[in-house]
Amino acid sequence: MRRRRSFFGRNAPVLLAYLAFVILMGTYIGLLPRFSGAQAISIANQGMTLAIASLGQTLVILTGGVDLSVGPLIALTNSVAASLMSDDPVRVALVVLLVLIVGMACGALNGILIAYGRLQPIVVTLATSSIYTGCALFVRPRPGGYVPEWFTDALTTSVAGIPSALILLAVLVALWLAFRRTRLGVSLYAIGSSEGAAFMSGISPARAKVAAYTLAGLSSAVAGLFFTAQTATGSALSGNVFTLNSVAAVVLGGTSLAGGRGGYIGTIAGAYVISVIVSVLFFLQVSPFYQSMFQGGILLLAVAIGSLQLLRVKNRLEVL
Amino acid sequence: MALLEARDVSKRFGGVVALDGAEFHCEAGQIHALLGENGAGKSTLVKILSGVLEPDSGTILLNGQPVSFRSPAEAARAGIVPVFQELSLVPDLTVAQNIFIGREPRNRWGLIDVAEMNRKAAELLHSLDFQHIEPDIPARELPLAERQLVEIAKAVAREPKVLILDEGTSALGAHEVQQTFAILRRLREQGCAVVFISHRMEEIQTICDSATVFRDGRHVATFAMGEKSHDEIVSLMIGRKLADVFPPRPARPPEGRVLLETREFGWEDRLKEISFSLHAGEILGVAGLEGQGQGDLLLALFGAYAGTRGQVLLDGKPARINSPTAAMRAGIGLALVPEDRKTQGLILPMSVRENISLPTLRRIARVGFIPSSEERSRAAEMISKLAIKAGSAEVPVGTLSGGNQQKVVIAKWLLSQAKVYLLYDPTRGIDVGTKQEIYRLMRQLADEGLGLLFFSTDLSELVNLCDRTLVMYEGRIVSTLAGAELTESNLVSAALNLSPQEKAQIYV
Repeated sequence: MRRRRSFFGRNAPVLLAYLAFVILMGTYIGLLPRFSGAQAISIANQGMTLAIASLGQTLVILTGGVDLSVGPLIALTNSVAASLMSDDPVRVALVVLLVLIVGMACGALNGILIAYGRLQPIVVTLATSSIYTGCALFVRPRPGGYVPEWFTDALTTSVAGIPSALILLAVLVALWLAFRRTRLGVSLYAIGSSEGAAFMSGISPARAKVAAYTLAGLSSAVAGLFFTAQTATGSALSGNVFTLNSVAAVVLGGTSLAGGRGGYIGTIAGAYVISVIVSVLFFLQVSPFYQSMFQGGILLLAVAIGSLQLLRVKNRLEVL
Repeated sequence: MALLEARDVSKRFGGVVALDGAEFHCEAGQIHALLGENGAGKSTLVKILSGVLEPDSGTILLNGQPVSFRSPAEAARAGIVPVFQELSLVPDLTVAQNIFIGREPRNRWGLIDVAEMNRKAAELLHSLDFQHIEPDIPARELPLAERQLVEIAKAVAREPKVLILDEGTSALGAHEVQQTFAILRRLREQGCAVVFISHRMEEIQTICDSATVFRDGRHVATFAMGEKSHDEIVSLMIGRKLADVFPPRPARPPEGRVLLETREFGWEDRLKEISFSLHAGEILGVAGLEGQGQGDLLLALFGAYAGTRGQVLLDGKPARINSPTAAMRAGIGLALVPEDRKTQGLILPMSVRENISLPTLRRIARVGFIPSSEERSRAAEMISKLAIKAGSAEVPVGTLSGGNQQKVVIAKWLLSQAKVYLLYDPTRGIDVGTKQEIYRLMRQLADEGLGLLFFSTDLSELVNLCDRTLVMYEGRIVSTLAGAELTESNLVSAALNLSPQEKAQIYV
């Protein structure tokens, strides 16, 4: 009889990501002279932009694609938001709406080019990322703009006594859990796992891809809004670090770059592993040059552990 | 009136005619066999009927009304549901998700009701007598036969008016075939039309009510089962005499030295206790039903698989072949003409010259550089020796016809001076004229003292070209046919590997 894989066997990559997070977090707390609730919120906030942006990246990578326009889209939405906001709540609400629409439109453009133009995701999003950076520079040639203080406070401190970061994470997880149980959610897994089989089962891969990239654009826009609140300024070149970090967060969280396997729960751990590494290295006063070396090394190690199972594949043609 | 009908349907792929004015019809409440050799156009017709492909011309009628499906989903909505061999299951989705994909039960929030979906899947699997399959396991974790059963369950769940099984039973064992037949009979009683494609003639004679034979993309005959004998049906399928296409076989059995020998060779559960020897000057065929380990044998010998068991002897000396590089260097050298020449045999955008010299770069390179004059002259020699039809040695291999591409694959190994050739269905998708040239080339290589291990899905090749033929079943060699015993009907019965008792058990 066949042996069922255990809970641990099935979820090994996600559990590994959380294990890495717990170890790093423990190290960080151990290093700090004292640890308070305020510091916990600050850690949560530092990883939040990446955690939000990585939701969209997860969706795209599940389809077997990749979105390299995440960073420039965060910068573009950040520039737009900081340039148009004022103290007037109605105006802020309209700006938020506009920013979300811009993000979705840019994401939809990526998706349409990829799905209907039959172009490779990496090339399309590399090209559009330059275009989006150009747009951001047009909107905000120099860093600056205005972000009302209450907007920053609402997103980065607490609402009704509950830390905003916690609320945001809870909302993201809830959205993800619901999304997994929609037909679109299943479609994304299906086309990433086997596009041919998905097509044969009556799924439209093109529509599902456009939806995935559009949602990725939306999530970049939300990340851009959070980033605006956090930095309280607009900058056209600030977002670039999020592009590759979002890919790294997704991979660290156990989602396969080949598509079809993984999910956002692991990605959250991946995003916070990356942001806590930066905090630890900063705290240890490691120079920025070595920081990226350490970050790369830890990423490589994590991905290698996740790929250990490939050593068991006996048909070498399947590994290639 | 026919439930589903195809009238004068044609389909070309590039220069190849897959269907040429094909006619087909099937009735409600009947199980209809679709018969023909590989390449007769059966699969193309099935793909057109089920909305995967659009025909170039012709009409499809459902209940007498012309229909045209732009996607498999549209065909499924109209009630035409295909079961392809291992094609429509998404490996990372669970059994239940696969069965209900696109039609998942939803709760009042509009979200997929996973518990309800699993419950319905379990209920369905139970009603089909597949209760051993658990609904919440990813499809990739199931063994092949169970995946095939899930495909069938998925099709049945769509309540088809026309169910098409394209080799839907080839991965199944005797017991599972019986279970599938029970399902088909139930569907027939409910007024469903079933189109049944199988290589196993016994299955067709057991379950089918009527049959249509295709050959070279055309309709040849439609008849009620029992109207024609087994031999009559086979001759309708083969149609032409292929004997003179093949080069004459040397009268003497090749008694050259043993070039390749395996002892208790095995890999995972796909190859078991394989022992045979290949002599110099011999073309040794490998036959069997689809997926009985024939292809695995070639790839494992060539070092593409890790963890093989048993012994391989080359020229009498034990050899350890753990990679294709090792296979090429080992003693007398192995060469593989792979299954898919476009992805495994050739690098399509590179020129004919570059492709030919690829395996021998190490030998001709001087301190890492490739002397272009020598490379060019070697390529020219091969092009003329094998009569490769190419504008020049510099055109990309991708621009050549399929047959000429295959000759380039052979040319690259000729230069490597390999003594043993492993050929993986080398004439698939190649026109008869070029096939003939490749047959002659193979015989010529054998006459020059090489050994050829030749896996083919074409029975006539195995019968007419090979000196001996190994027959495989479930990863074992079950018999070796040679001389007068090497006939198509003997190959088929050896490939089915059924004892008389087993036949009685299944087909009563």
